[in-house]
This record gives sequence, structure tokens and C-alpha cells, in this order.
Amino acid sequence: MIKHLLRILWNQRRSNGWIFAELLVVAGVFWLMADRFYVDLRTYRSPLGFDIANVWRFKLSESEGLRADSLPGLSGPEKLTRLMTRIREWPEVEEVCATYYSCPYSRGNSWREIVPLDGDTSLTAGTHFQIRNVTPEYFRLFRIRTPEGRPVADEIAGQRAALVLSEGMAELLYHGRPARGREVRHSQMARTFTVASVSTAIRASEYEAPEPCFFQCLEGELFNETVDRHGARNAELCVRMKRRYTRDDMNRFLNEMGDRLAVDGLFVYGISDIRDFRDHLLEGKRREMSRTSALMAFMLANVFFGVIGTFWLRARNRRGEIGLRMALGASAAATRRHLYLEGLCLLALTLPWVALLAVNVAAADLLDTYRLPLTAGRLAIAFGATYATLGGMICLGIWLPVRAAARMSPAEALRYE
Amino acid sequence: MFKQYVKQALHTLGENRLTSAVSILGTMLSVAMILVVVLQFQINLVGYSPVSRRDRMLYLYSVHTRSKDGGEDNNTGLSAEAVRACLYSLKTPEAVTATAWNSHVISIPGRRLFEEYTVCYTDPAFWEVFDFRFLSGRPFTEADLNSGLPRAVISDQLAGILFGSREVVGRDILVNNVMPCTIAGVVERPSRAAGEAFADVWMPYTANALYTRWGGCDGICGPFGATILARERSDVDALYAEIRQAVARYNAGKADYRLTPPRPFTHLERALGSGSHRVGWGEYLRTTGWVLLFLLLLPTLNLTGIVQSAVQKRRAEMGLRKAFGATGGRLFAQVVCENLIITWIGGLLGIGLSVVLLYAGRSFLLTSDTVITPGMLFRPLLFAAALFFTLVLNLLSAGLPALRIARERIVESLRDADE
Repeated sequence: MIKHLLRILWNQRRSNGWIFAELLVVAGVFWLMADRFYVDLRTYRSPLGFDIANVWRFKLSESEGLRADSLPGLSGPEKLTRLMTRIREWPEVEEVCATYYSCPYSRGNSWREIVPLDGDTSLTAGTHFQIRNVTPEYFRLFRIRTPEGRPVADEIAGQRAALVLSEGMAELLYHGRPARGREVRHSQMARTFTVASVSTAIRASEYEAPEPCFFQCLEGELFNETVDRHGARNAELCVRMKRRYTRDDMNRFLNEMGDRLAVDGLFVYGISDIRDFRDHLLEGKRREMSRTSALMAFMLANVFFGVIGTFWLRARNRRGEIGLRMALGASAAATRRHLYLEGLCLLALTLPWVALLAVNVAAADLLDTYRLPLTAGRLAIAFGATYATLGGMICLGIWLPVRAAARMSPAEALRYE
Repeated sequence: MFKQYVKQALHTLGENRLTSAVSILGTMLSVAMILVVVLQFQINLVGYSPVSRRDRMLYLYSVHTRSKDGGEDNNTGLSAEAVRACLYSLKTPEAVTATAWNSHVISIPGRRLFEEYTVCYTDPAFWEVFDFRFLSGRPFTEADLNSGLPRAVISDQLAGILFGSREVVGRDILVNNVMPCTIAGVVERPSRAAGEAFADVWMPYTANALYTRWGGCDGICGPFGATILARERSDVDALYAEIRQAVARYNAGKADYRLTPPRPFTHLERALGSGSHRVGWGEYLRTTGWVLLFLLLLPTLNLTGIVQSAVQKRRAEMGLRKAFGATGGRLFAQVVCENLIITWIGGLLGIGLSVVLLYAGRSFLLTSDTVITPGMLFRPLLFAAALFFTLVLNLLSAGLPALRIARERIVESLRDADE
């Protein structure tokens, strides 16, 4: 049967050649796109490590002239702490924290060299890890958990000079041995810090793989130093509300807060839903994916047009043959199946070439293996999606000509023979 | 003769409706996709209010500074001081304006709001370079700039949001809930596609001390970019020479850093994608060219298959014509011309579809919430591109089958063509 089909395809190579070339190009490009989509999708759906529902970011500014508060001469850290306390006291607010260049989706990007005092120092000499400067409330606010599922906030309660490592960083430093309670220091600071907890992997955004990183808890003296260095107005103030608020709800809420949003010149001038930051950060990726989808739709439409055109002409040109088959006892169903198989066989012939392309692309390391390792499953899914979609499109394209061809009565069909 | 081709082509169209429809639809889709790419470029290129004089605009958004010991290189914008010293004094151009953007909360006294808007810090020359339509009031003036009086121009949209009216000249707004500012005028809100002029609020940069004081590297670096309105499009060389002279004088007074201005981008270079670095036709075609080629290739393969079949069916006719003396060139022209009718119909429909596609995909093809006006779309460039790409598509798809039939020997053609 297959051999017979191949012979028919070969005999019509002139008209098949063009559609075959098109299927080849489309299958190759489609596979590359399907693979990228799959990687994006898998990455998107893996856990982020934090939860931003109902979290708003309050933007701070400072003015000399605006003295809503009657207490003059507060220091930066005092102002910030007082402002956070006031916001937290409001019944609709669940939690408040301050971060420096470390809020989710803020594109904060500071790195520090960390040396474990009793771990694998050889491995990490000169290794830099992303640091997130956060006040301890951060872990409750963003629902950070340990790999075992316990809240990190419970583990760090009461700890001084606490660090929280991400799962990946703990693995790099301690190779599976428990990290909690161990001491580390920054290469440029004399002070030592205690690993108070280990968190799940933390990702910068939905489309990025997790990087080993650590949280530095800003408390006491370290909080004062950090706020003084970066300025109270540059703190990223994150506020989690007890329920879902719309923008209008928030404006009303801020209006009610009124002067309580200002402490000695430090005041809240604007707010944004953290999701706005996320949308902004993911905008480029969203555009790229929309463009890729448009191109994929274009390719499918072309395959459809190509197949319908080619097979329509073929069914007409071969009316004689089809009539003969039917006269010799082939049912309409068999004739239909025959034409479908011809189309699918043509598609199957592209498989070795696309596989060859895949091998070369993989060998040249052009596939994204950083976010998702190249496994047999990944290949199978991308290839499966490509060939299932193209196969469906081909069947759709053949359906119309076939219906017309198989509807002929044998006598009429034989007239053409 | 061409009339004959047209007749024949129309007849073929009717005879084989399905393949004709498929050819036309395929061409339409391909031309539409290509035209969407062309339209994206065109929207960046052509002028409309407030950027009507784009053809004479030049841009200096990023400059290079180097410390005299050679240890530090920066690519940044200019400080207000550098703009005053090097650009405001230029004689060659018609006008020079400095612009810096930020995003601020805008509210009104007595009612605190927390919504942010785009604020453009600029100078009075801005209103000469860009032709905004003032709905009420007038631009801020040189006197406002020098006195540092906070007077702002706002868009009609913002006026509507804040006051529910356009007649708001003389009223106050609060920037970031602290800085009071008087409204000098209200303009029609520009499209986001006019990125070099877009904002919701325009104010003199002297109103914010941050922008007058901002100056790293010996006071050279800052937040400003410059848009220069040349007198003639060809002035760019003379202008660049004058900028370099002014910069040389400015550098002479600097102890630690040297400023090197790049040659300003022309508007064409900006439309091609110049931002932090210069993008010319070469680089544009290396990236976008591949997409265009791909968009042409697929329908070409389709159409070639169909034309091939159609021509094969008419081998006997072609052989006969040849036997009676038709030259190969003539047969070639006939096949190509007949096919041209189909591609032109597809191309015409493609123009319409491209506008629909651009509108449907504007959120990912252009900046989101870009306003598209007919003036941006229906330009000669669009139709020229449509004509060009349909011709290319036609030649690519009909060329090979036509060449083959034109070269075939008479006897072979005359033999019954049915393979």
C-alpha cells in the first residue's frame, strides 16, 4: 500500500514537488516555533516562588516643604518605619514590607559575592549571587515557602542577621546538606550572617528560569544603614490588601488615609498594582509571542491553500483513474481514504529532513536548553504538535476535492478514462 | 494583445473557480502580511500633526563622553548646560528643542489623585519644531523658561479627566502631589506613534530643579535628547560640522571629560529603528528582509504548483501556437500576464486586509493604545509597495512554469499533454 502510494507520488513529482517544498519549509519552521512555545509554556506554568495577588506598590517621595507630621527631625529609617507602621495599622491592610531594588518584577539586579564559612568554599570562590534586600515581613507578604512547604516567615522569626537562601543557592553551597543555621559572610563585609531558612526557587518573571539567589533580611542596624545609603524615598513599599481592590477602591482607600500617608516630608505620591509591573516586564515577550502566532497562522493558511489547490487539480486530472478504481469495486470511502493517505504520505516524507534539521539545530546549540533540558519528551511533543497540526490542515485541504471526486458515479468517472 | 490576455485570464478564472479562489486568497494573505510590515515602517516614517515636518527632523538622543584619562566611557543624554552651550547656539537649523521624559502623578489642588501620566520637560522651541493644535491657550514662552515659572501645556484628554472640560487655561495642577503648576494651554493629544513629541503634560524643564541641576561627568551628561528641525533635508553635513565646532569650544572649558557628539540620526534612520545605535537600510533588511522573504516564499510555492498545473493543461494550445510561429518570449509574456491579473486582484484585496490586520494586531505591532488615522495608512508608499510585491510574487510564481513551457519543443507540447 505504502509502496503503491510512494510510486503514485513519484509519478506526479512535478505537481507534488512544489507542495512538498512548501510542507518542508513549513514543517521545519513550525517545529522550531512549536518547540519555543512549548518551552515558554512549561516555564510560564512552573511555580514562581512568590504570590503577588492583591499586592500594591506605594511610591514614595520626599519634600522639604510638606510637613504634615508634627514631629520634626526624624531620620530616614525612622520615617520609613513609622510610615510602614501607620499603613499596617489600617484594618484593610494585611501586611507591609519595604525592599530595595528587590521587589518582584522591579528588574532589581544587585549581585554579591558570598563565602560560606563551613561549606564548599572552593566552589563558590568568586561566585556572585543575586541579593534581594527585604524587610522580614516580605516573606509573609509574598507567601515565600520552604521547599518542604512551610512558610519561611515562621523559620526566620526571632533570628538576627538572617539570610534566606534559595533552594538552588543552598544546593550550590552545601550540596544537599542542611543549610539552616550555617554561617556565611559577604566577601567585602566583616560581618557574618546566619542562614535562617531556605526558600523554594525564586524566578524573576514568568518566562525566566530560576537563578540561585538569597534574601538579606533588613533589620535593626542593617535596616538603618541600608535606608540611609539608598534614601527612604527610594524604598519599594509593598502593601498586601486583605481582599481584591480595584484601582478606584485603592484611590478611595488612599483618600481615607489622607495625611497618614505622610511622615515628616516622606509621603506616598502614587500607587501601582504589582501586576502592572509584571505586565510591563512581560510586554516584550507578549508581543513576540503574538507575532509568532500570527506567522504560524499564516503558514497554516498557506498549507491549506496549497493543499486544496494541488489536490483539487489532481482529483480532476485523475478522474479517469478514480473512476476505474470505483468501477473495479473500490467504495467511495476507499477512494477517499486513498487520497487522504496520499496527502499524509507527502507530509510524512518531510519527516526525515526535519529530523535532520532538528539534529543540526540541537548540535549547534540553537535550542533553548537553559530553561528546559532537551529530552525525548520535549522533542516528541514539539514534533507531535507540528505534524498533528499540519496533518489536520492537509486533511482539511483534501476534504473538499475528495468530496467532489468521490461523489461521481463510476459511469460518469469512466467517461474520462 | 494585452486585451486578449485579460480576456483569457478572466475566462480561466471563471473556468476553474476553486483554484482561482485559492490563488487569489493566497496572494491576498501574503500581500497583506507584507503590507503590515510596510505599514509599521510607514507609520514611523510619515509625518502628521504634530510631527508634520518629520522629513526635516534630525535627532541627537545619545552622546558619548570620555574622561580625559581614558578610564571612563559613557553613552548618555545631555545636560541642560550642554544643550545650551552646544545646540541652542546653532545657526544652520531652523529650531532646536531639548526633551526629557518622566512619569508623574498629576492631580488637582484639593483632590489627591494617584494616576501617573507622561510628562515631557522641554523648552519653548518645542512648539516650533512640532506643530501641535492648540484647543485653547498658548505655549509657554521663553520668559516662562527663564523665570522657571511652572507653566504647563496639557492634552485635551488629561484636561477631560482632571476637570471634565477643555477650558482650563489658568487653572492649577499638582505634579507628584507637591509641585503646583498653572495650565498655559490645551492641545489635542498626539498619537503614541509620534514618540518624539508624545506626552500628556509638557512643561519648561526649569520648573523642576532636578533637570537644571542634573549633570554627571563635569556637567555634560544629563537626561536630555534633542530634536533638530533643519531648513533643508540636505543640511545634515553642514549641521554636524557646526555641532562639532560648538562642542569643541565647549570641551575646551572642561577639565576632566570630553564630549563627542555622533552624527544626528535622520528621520529615515530613526524610522528604520535607530535608537541607541544607528540602523541603516543594510541592518534593517538583514532582520526584516528575512521575514519579508519568508512571507513571499510560501505563497510562491503554492502559486507555482497551481500555475504549473494550469499551464500543463494548456500544453497542446501552446504547442499549436508555437507551431504557427509564436515565439517563446511571447508565450512567456502571455503566461506571466495572465497570472498577473490574478495576483493584482489578490494584491488589491491584500491592501484592504492589511489595514484590517494592522488594526486587529495594533497592540503587538505598534505601541499599545496607538491611535491610527487614515492619514498614516493611505500613502503612496503603501500602494507602491503593494504593486511592487505583487509583481515580485507574480514573477516568482509564474516565471518558472512560463519559462518551461516557452522552452519546450513543439512536438512534445503537441503530444497530448495529460501526464
